[in-house]
Amino acid sequence: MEFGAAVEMSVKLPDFDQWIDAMAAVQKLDVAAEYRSGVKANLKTAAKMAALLDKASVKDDAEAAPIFRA
Amino acid sequence: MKSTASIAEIAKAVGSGEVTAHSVVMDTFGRIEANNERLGAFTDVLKDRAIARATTIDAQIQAGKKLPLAGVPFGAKNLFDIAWLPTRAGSKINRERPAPKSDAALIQRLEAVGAICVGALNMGEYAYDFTGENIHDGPSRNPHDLAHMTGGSSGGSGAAVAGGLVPLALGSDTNGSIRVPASLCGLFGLKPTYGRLSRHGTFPFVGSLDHLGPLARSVEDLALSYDAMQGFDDDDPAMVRRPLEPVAGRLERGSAGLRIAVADGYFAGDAEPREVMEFAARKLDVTRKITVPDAAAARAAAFLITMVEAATLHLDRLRERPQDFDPAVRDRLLAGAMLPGAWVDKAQKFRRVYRDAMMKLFEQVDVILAPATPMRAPKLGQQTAMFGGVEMPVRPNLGIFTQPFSFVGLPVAVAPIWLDGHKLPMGVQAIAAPWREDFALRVVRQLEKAGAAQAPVARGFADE
Repeated sequence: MEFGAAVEMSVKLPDFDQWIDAMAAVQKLDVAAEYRSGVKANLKTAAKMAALLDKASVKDDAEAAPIFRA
Repeated sequence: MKSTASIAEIAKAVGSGEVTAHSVVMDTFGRIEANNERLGAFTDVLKDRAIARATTIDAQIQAGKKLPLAGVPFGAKNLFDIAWLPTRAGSKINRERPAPKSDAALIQRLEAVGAICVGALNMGEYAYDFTGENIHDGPSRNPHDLAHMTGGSSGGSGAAVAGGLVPLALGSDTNGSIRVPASLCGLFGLKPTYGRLSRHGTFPFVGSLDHLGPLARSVEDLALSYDAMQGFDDDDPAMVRRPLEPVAGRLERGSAGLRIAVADGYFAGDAEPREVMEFAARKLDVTRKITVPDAAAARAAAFLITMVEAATLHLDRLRERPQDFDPAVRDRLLAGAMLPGAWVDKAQKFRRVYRDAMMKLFEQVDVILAPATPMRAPKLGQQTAMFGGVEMPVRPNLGIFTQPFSFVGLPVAVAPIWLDGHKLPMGVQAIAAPWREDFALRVVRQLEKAGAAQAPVARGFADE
């Protein structure tokens, strides 16, 4: 079965510590030392999800469609 | 009334004057007092308010007023506003906010036809979990085995209905938070089409994915409550203006004439859900299979949108008091605040692609069947489980089968299936095209009529 989180990454994962440091400064967030491993784990999962989504085709003129209309 | 009484039975008994609404709510509070500590279902009980409301209803009945849900007690997940009660949304932080002055729209709708809100129900913090575990209020416990999870985030809703405290609970479902507890607690659940029911007066999680709906112990109860909650509301910007489309009168048509197929591929699942799906398909005499294209990408897109929208919602709180969050929620939100915009933009655009693909499938079939969860209820505190042969965290992965459908707002009803040799249930999703809640409910009603799906009050909680 193709579970999203179990898909092997074919791309090289970035340095998540650098990512956290940079984005925490941009977003004015204080990422305490004890939060860091949890945040890294979630960034890693998100990166895997993004890699899965990257395989999906979206046309240049596609627009977001959040709801159905009557 | 007994703990096993249905909404229809209570409404009939109260409406005819056979029993009073007052006695129904007193029985309800007796059960809550006796069992809530074990179940972790209610976080707040509204005794004075409910008794006052029951007194009013009894007077109205005596005066000849017809109330379709007369005296029906219900609970609401604690992200629904209840007048003068802080809307905690499962968090420590929100309970310090001023209490709302009015009830959420759906509570008002139910009470307008005679139902009685008896309390607020436990939930995962800010609705960001699939387990029903809450670090501040304690976990909700699965009434069928108290050592197991209810599923979440509407965990208290699942515990309250399966534990016989109330026949009806309101929940929310962003990625599966009604459907997962319905599956793990053995209940019928309905997540209507996005834009169908008003979310006014509820604390949001992910605005572009948030839905509200009921959990109950029969399809008729689900339909009666859903019908009472329909209707346009200007105060919810996502609502779509549609006529009332009541479903209760259509249930007995069952699956007759409906084109039904079982989702394969991504939804084939491991042995546990496969066995449940084969059983349900046999009972419905369905042999057709259908492939939902790009389901894994849809789930991934829903996952990313959730992370970013939720992080945006909570950004100020994350900056000011991160220590007051559940650590598991906080770390997901912090990560969500750090994701590239291009990922989310692609996820939003993919939503249109995927929606169009789903609409094409609904040219071929009326209802798609899929498992609601990849497993039966895990034990409380269980961190990982095997999914597709890989050990992965339980918390985000209980929703792998629900996320691809809520991602594009499709209506889904859940039927609880009990197989011989298993002491816990597992749910089947019946997914229909937008606005065809009736199709989804007719299929789960067919499973109920065939004896394949049932939602009993858990042993030990049912009145003799």
